[in-house]
Amino acid sequence: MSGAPDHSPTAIIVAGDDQTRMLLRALVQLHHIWVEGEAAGETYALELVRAYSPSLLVVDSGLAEGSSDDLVCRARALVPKIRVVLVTPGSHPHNLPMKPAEQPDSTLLRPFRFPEFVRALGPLCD
Amino acid sequence: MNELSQKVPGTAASAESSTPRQDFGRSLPSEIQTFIARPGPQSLLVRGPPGSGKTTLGLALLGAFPGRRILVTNRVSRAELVDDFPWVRLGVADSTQVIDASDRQRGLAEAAMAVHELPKVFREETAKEVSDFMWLPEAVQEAYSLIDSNRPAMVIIDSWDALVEDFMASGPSDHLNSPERQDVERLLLSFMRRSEVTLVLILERDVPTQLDYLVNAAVTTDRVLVDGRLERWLYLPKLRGQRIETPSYPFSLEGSKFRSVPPFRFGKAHTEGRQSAEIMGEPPPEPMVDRVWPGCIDFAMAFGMFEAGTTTVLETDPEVPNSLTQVLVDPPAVQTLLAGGRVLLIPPPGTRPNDIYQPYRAILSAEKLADQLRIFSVAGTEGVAEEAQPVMLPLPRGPGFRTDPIFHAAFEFIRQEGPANVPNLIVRTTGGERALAQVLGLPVTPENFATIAAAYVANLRSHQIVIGTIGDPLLLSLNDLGSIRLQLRARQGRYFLNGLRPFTPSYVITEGDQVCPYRLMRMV
Repeated sequence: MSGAPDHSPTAIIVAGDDQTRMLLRALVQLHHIWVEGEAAGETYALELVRAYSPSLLVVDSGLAEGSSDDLVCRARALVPKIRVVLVTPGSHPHNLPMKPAEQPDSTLLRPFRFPEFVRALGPLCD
Repeated sequence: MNELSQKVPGTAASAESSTPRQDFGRSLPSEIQTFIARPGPQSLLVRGPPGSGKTTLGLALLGAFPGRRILVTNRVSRAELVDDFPWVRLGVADSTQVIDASDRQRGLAEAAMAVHELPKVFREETAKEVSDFMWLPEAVQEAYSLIDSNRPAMVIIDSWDALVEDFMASGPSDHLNSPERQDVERLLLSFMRRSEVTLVLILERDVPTQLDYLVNAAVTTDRVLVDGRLERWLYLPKLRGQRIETPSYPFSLEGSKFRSVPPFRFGKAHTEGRQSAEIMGEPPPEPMVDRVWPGCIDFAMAFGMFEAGTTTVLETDPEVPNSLTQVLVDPPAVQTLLAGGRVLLIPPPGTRPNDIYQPYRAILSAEKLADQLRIFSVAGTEGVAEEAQPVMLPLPRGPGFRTDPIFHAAFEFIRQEGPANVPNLIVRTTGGERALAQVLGLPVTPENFATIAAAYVANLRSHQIVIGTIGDPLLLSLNDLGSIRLQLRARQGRYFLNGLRPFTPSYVITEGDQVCPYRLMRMV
């Protein structure tokens, strides 16, 4: 695949559960954002971030390997302008890192609605 | 023949290396050009058997589309696409997003499992939206993600049959919410209609389905063998909201490019009193030696040149108008005159000699024509301008007339040789000769027709073109004589020129340009 056209937003989807990953991917694609790749765990997710420098990282808090906190932090270090959306179980609000630079741009509590995701995308969803 | 194309700039062959973008649009039928220029959402089906040109048509559609272009293919990789369609590099591949669907793993089974988990991730109304999207094949989801909601886009899926069948094949048929193929198709159209998308679905199945009713337009392609020659046809069974001026188009895939052929329109020279110099044709790439230049590089490349001492037989369908045979015959006649050779014309009955003379006069002086051109017609010299009188062979009149002198005059005229190595040209129509024979009270039989034809080329340094309708016994009598034997057939407003000897592919006569009054497009 040739990837997205120039200047179009791109995304990496990370979730430990196959079905959740598929659903998040579909959600992103529904908003006309090209998905460069998917990962189940932190290590491969960082490889993808390094390779594609995406404009969006959608991370489910349940990963097959590594931690979502570390992933957010290290992805930011790799791509400072990346927009990060963290999806967490509604009954277990995620403990956000202390440093603002290491926080996701948005956190969505499952189950969530379309408008919440649109808000989470911010400037990427124009 | 390749040498010819190198010597004549502006020919079809020499133009292969540079295809301007606007050519993509011009190669499509005008109805399809109009269709893809309309604002989306639009949907078009392209249906046809394998090898009928659907993929090449799809690429031509992409090439002509001014917005974002997305190709979903499970047939060729991007690299193969560029290899098989080298011209794509010029106009399409650089700006077309190609999604290779052949390596996508997820099918309906995986989608069904994900949909089962929807409530854990999304609230109800959002879950429905995502659920619908999940029932689309993965490659279609990817294509949707590439659409810019603020910009027109064309999405081509080649082939939809293969894509959706692969997707459905993995599906659990007993799953309660699992969609059928027609549900997937409805969802596909529903999603694509949300944006300014022109969706093109390429199908291989020849059975109409609900898609035929749901889409805005449908095109079918076909390949047929006619007398052992390949012909490709495109049909327009449906273009909603649009008038279909021409419901069928022959097309060629020469050079892996899609080129359709509109109905032939005669140039001014052949519709407005034949006053123009358009009949002149192309100049020869080099001086002709003992050959008559056909006046058209396409003709020369397809069928060769007219050799001195030989005969070309042109059989025509009764539906072919005389004006079309004139389109073919005028250029070699004018080129012969320009080279200094002589031309003897025996036109079909009903043709006014003055209408033949005047276009030649627009190119050559009256003195030169009086010296080099003769028209032998049942119409005689009636209504002919005074300066043209020397060109017309007068019919003998009155009681006790003798026919010998007139034929003697014709023979003597064509026997005179022009400059060295420049053969003369004789153009005879069987209809014209029959009419003359009737007026002169002479019998015309296949035997004496063949004898005269043989005499013309055996004893004179000239080339002879004999024109008649298919199956005419006079033409059949020339079976052993015609070194080139061509057949001109009319079908659905187009004219196909086929070589019987030598056997050639089918050529469609297309409109000419500023250089030549006609062009030939090879059907491949």
